[in-house]
Amino acid sequence: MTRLQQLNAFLDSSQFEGHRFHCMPIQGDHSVLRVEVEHLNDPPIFVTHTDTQILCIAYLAHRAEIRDDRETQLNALLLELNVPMPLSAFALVENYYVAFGALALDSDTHLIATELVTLAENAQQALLAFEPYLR
Amino acid sequence: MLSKLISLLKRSVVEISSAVGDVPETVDQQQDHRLEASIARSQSILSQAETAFRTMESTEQSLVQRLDKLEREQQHLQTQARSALQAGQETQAAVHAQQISECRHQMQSLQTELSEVSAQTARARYQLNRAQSDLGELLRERDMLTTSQTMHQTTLALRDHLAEGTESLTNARASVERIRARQQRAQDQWQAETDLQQSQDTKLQYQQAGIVWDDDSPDAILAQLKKETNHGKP
Repeated sequence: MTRLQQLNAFLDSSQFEGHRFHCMPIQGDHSVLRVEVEHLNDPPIFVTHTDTQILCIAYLAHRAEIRDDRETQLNALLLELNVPMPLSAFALVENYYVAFGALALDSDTHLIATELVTLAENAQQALLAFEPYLR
Repeated sequence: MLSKLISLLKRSVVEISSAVGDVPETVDQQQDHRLEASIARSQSILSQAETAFRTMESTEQSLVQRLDKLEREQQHLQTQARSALQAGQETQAAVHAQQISECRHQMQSLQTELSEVSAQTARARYQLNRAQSDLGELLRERDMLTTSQTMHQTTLALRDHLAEGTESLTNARASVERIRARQQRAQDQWQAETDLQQSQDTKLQYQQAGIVWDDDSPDAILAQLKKETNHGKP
């Protein structure tokens, strides 16, 4: 059983801080697990891993969705928010603004559940912060 | 190392010809191969450094043991020489003195050798630490590159996967609207629960005062309707 399959099995049968998880594996060159945290399912979280890390990614917006005249301000805001935002960080990947968290590959499932719920909360708050900058 | 990673990320993934043959190889792949070769080289250097260090350390320990043995032998000979002198056996004492002298010469020679070996051991230890550090840095660099590549490849794969179902990976405006709607529903539900609780509290107070509250009376219905209409307003 792969790490993502283990995680899928755990999350499907778990509840964390009042949240249930809805998981959907996405097959491909890189196995990805789509996770929706109940009550915080916008945006969903995509979980993948490398040889050393588990990566949890929430896609917030494509650059094309951001107003040209406010992109610089948004970037400054995100840099400022990076430190206070718990357990997660912002990044730009393939022109997508993302919030993400990284854990050691051998992190226990409880820690991963904490990361997922925290990231889902962060991503939701981040999206609301994005609103004035959207087209 | 970070600057190397930044320069790599800045470069577009343009296919270029491989140095060997005509097989096209991306910049990412070339970088991967170079990094893997560096890691293999560094592992080999580390292995050699470990062997060299172990050999030097073992030689050093062997010399120390030999010196200790000679030191004990010298002490034993001195004891014997003193005993011989006390017994008036000067010839025997002279033989022991000769042996002590040879012992000391051997010790001096060994001490010189030990100094050289200790210096070599220190150099081998430094080389070993450096090889470990170099390998650690390369492994960290590979980890960073792998993470970066995984993020990019995952994003592209998800984008393509969702595009097949005519979905997009993000629609921030729609997401914000759904979040706002969910927050409003939660607020409405909370308000309704609060109103219901207040209504029940009022009813209980009337009952305790001996007043029967008839929810279905025209006055009660009108009051309820007024309350709902002016909800949240004074």
